[in-house]
Amino acid sequence: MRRGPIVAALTVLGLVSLWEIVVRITNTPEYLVPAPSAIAEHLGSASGLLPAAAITLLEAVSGLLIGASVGLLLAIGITFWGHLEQAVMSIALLVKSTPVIAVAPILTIWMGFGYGPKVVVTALLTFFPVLINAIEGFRSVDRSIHDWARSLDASPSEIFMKIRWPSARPFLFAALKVAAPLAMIGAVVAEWMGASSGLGRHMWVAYANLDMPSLFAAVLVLTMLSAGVYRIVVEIEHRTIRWA
Amino acid sequence: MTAPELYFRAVTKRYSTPRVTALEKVDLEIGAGSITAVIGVSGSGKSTLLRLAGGLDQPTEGEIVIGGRNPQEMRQSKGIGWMSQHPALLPWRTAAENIKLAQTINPQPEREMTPPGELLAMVGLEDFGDAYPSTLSGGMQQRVSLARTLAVGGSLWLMDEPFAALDELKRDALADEMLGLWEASRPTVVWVTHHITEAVKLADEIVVLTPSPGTIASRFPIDLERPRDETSPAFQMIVRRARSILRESPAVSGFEATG
Repeated sequence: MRRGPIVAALTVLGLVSLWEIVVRITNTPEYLVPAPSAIAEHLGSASGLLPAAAITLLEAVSGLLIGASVGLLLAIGITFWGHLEQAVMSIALLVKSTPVIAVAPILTIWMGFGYGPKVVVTALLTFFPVLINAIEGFRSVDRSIHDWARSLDASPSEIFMKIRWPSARPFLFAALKVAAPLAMIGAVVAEWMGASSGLGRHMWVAYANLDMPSLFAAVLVLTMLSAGVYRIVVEIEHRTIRWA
Repeated sequence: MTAPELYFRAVTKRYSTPRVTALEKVDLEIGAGSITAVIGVSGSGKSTLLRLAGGLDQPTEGEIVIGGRNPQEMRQSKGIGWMSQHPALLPWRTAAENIKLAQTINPQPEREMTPPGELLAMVGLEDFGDAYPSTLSGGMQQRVSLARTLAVGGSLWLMDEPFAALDELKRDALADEMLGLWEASRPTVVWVTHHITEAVKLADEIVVLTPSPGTIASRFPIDLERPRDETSPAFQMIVRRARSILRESPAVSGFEATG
């Protein structure tokens, strides 16, 4: 049996126990630092937290899919038509450099409090790492492999589909491992800027009411969701890339 | 597929970045079904010569004719077997899948292809069809690469220092295997090498290039019977001759005169 996960679980359990003990001994008020037991109680009471998490997850995954697709398509375009690179990268860098916190309110005014602005913010956050890694991945093919394929008169589409695309897969998974947790952050930040539902909205309401157990519970759920989507990407990577 | 003759007619190749003339008015004819070793110091245009023959680069001046066709036509008909110093295997494909890929790219339905398993058996790797390249040694990877060169059934093999990254024992063993495979189908082979002994052991003719720009300094046939005894006086005499021609070249520092 592997000892690593057991040690990690015991460490977390130890820290949570210490937190509980310190809060109880020092009699710290709940509106400052709630005890883990109070957070757990809040989680168990199902006070709309799980539906909110589902909405945030849906926004994050939708934004990630759109952002990753846009990044990938742009990278494919640059790979086939190199002269597009400067124009695409200039715009991409401009979008990347614009703080999402500044864009989110504008999008909320334009698109309302619903699903749309959250998906757009998430897509804006996630397309860049996919774009950069995909370009790098498509270009990572060794020159000797490229020469060999050309000696067989492989067409550009054959070189792309049979060599560049599979060669880029580790780079794409590296990008998704960065982009997936980023998507969760993007969705929550956009919800903070104005939303009728979602984890961000739940946090905002808890913050306004100084409901610290609820706020901590929402943070915990968000953390677990981010770790979960990261883990899913890693699992897919392990199943897809067997040669490494 | 009948082995073609290969002609370079007044071939010059200039590159713009960096601005350099790699080859200058090279005239060369290579006999059908022969092995020609091309040697020269670093920067003498050996690899350029091979890339031009393979249609991977275009000559600035002059023309290249391979059995009545140009290099592009040879590529289109998958008439070229290309092998470089790096095995150039795709890491996500097994040994057999790498070989299969060579047969499925630019498919030639009219040509009968040898199954990958048989090709691997020819290079002594019949038990490694399902192995990924990362699990194979450098020598085994080059064997797979050699099997892949055979896979398309090309009549012109262009080999750019294919065994240079291997140790001497593996290099000798693979050179012997290559020779056996060449004798089975007798393609025309152009073999670029830094290794004089290897050139004398394998080739029917040696072509020596001068350094930048590359021109033909000398060419001479090797009339020794195969298999060749490296310790024989005749063999050693040819090695010394090739080495002395290279030493007379203006820049010998890049040459590994280890043969």
